[in-house]
Amino acid sequence: MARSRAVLLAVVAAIVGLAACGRAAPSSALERVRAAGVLRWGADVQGGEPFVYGAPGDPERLVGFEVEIAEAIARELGVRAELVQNDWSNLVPSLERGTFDVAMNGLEVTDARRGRVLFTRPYYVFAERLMARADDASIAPSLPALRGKKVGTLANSLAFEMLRDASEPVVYEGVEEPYADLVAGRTDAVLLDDVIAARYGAPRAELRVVGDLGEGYYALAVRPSEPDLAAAVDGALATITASGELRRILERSRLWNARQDRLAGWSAADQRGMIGAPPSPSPMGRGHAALFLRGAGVTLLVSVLAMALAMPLGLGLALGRLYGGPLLGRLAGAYVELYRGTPVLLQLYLLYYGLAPVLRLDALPAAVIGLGMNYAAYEAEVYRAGIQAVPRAQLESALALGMTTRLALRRVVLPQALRHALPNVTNDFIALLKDSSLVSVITVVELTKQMSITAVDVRSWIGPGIACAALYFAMSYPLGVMARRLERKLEGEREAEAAA
Amino acid sequence: MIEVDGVRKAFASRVVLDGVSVRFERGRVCALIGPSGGGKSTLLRCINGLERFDSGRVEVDGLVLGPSSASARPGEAERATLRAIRLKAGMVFQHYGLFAHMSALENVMEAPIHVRGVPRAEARERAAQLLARVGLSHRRDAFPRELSGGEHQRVAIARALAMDPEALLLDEPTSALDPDRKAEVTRVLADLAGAGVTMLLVTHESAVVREIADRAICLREGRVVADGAPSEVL
Repeated sequence: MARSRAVLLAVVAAIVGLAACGRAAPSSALERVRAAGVLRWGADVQGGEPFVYGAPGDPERLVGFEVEIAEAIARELGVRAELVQNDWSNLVPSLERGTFDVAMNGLEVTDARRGRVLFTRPYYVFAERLMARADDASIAPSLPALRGKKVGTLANSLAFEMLRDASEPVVYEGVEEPYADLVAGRTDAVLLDDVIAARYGAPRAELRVVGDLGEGYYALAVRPSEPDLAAAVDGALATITASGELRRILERSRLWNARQDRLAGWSAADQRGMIGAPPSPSPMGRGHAALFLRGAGVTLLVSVLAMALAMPLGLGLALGRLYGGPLLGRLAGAYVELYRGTPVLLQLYLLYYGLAPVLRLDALPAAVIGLGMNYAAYEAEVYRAGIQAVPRAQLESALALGMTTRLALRRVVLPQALRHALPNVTNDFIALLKDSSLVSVITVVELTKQMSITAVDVRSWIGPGIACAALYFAMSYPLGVMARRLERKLEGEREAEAAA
Repeated sequence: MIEVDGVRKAFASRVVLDGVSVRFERGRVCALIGPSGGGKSTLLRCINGLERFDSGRVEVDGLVLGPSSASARPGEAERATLRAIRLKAGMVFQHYGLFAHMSALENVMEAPIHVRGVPRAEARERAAQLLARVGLSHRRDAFPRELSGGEHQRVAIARALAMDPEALLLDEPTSALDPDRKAEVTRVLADLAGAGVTMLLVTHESAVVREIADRAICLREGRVVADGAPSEVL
């Protein structure tokens, strides 16, 4: 007892010592950047025009107004700029992890981000632009008028923060899809930054600009522990704003407008106004629990319905492959190979967005059909293996008793095959529970999506992550136990059969 | 009642039946004997259409089966003939013949109910009688995995009899059994023979042939090489 306490103390001392070292080691962030000779900035090339994108005709070369701003800032700091590609929705966590020095990619100054990062002065003032279908006069340019309307926007955006209590936001992960869905009639309006609206919404003749619902700022995000780097970037931005370079950059991307005049006279008071007092993060509470349970409900609903589709369809495919003759057999085989050989994410995209001009499915049916058709390919193989595991003599005995092949399959082969397949079907269902998180790409808010939305609210992944994992586990563990039990039971029966 | 005429059958390039012609009479018990690979089981399977043949013909009680290629799917008329033949010639397999997911009684009831449309209660009563006939009344609720090999084969015989076939085709019904079990199955077959059931039996065991067959046919390399009383052929 005394000895173990001594060990414990030693371990604690070692951890405290390491932590102290960790605090003492780095000098200033600016010195680190200067010593490296490079300012590493995080952005997502997928965000596209006009932020950061491959040059037309030379997609390897990255251009965009943020590329030019990054190069100008780096020049002012006496270093060169280097873009670090990073998934947009994870720019802030990656910044916190130290993947790059600053993040700059249309990062709006939102409440949720203000609590986590240090924002520099802004390099762009944007408007939240509301768009609707040209022939739909019912949408008015005010938030209260959006109550009960389905309004598309991007996850974790300022627009989403504005919309979440005022309407029914539909959350997308790309900039093209919200407008495509608005044209298709799946939503009533789209609220996004004017930069995005101008490039992706305005060119569509079917849409009209309703109006602007507010303003916001794009600024660079810096780690809170590195205020000296933030101050240096601020200085660089002030220089290129004063010299007119920023204006020229924005003009080149056709982004300059009267709103940007404010950047020139940007003061400490303006900065305080933009940052404000960082709001205290809302703790996880009963409201979140209800949202999580609803997310788990959606996950369960999508999974159960998708499996209910996958099982009969898979059975049909397996029977077609084994007994359907050459044509049907080849068709079923092609289906299985096609669906197993392509990513389910792509299948969901094609079904929901690709087919939208001819087949306008709602998000939930599209999720069920997309996952169901994908899993049918896997179920088909499970059933095929199950059918082939039934000894040939079982089918022959049934035929020898005068049964038709159809009757023999129904009464003799399939009952045994499905029993053999049951553990694998259960395991597939567990996999489906988790794969169902993919349907968030077609705007279904299920458990994982709910978790990432809540994580932004409460400024932490830990609580929501644990709650999310616990709910998945609670759904899948009993099924796993059931599958193992079934497997053992069938194993015992097979041994008894072999011994008889 | 069963006539096989010039039946030829090859698997890939190996000839299994090389022009076999033979007649089987009603009420007789005929044993098919000979070395492994001689074509005995294949002949049995050709008679009830589990195996198709390349040339020749098979006639069962007026129903005629002609040659067909293995890849061609039989048409509706041919499938109907196949089913009719199978109802006339019941089959008992060497292995795994009983439906593994049904009890002994359910195995015997299954085809009368779902093929013949016999009412359930009637089928159950008949099945119970047949199980009694093969000495297995006490095992009616057992599943195939719980039955001994001998019990297994006796249930299979009862199941075939439940369809009131004109003849029973038995493919090595005793070869997987130990001596006691062999005797128990042979006794059942002898009873049936005594009751005038037409049987066609593939076997390796001369004891079984002597005890229940009144004719033996020896097949070797796909040809009939001997045909006569068991004592002469053995």
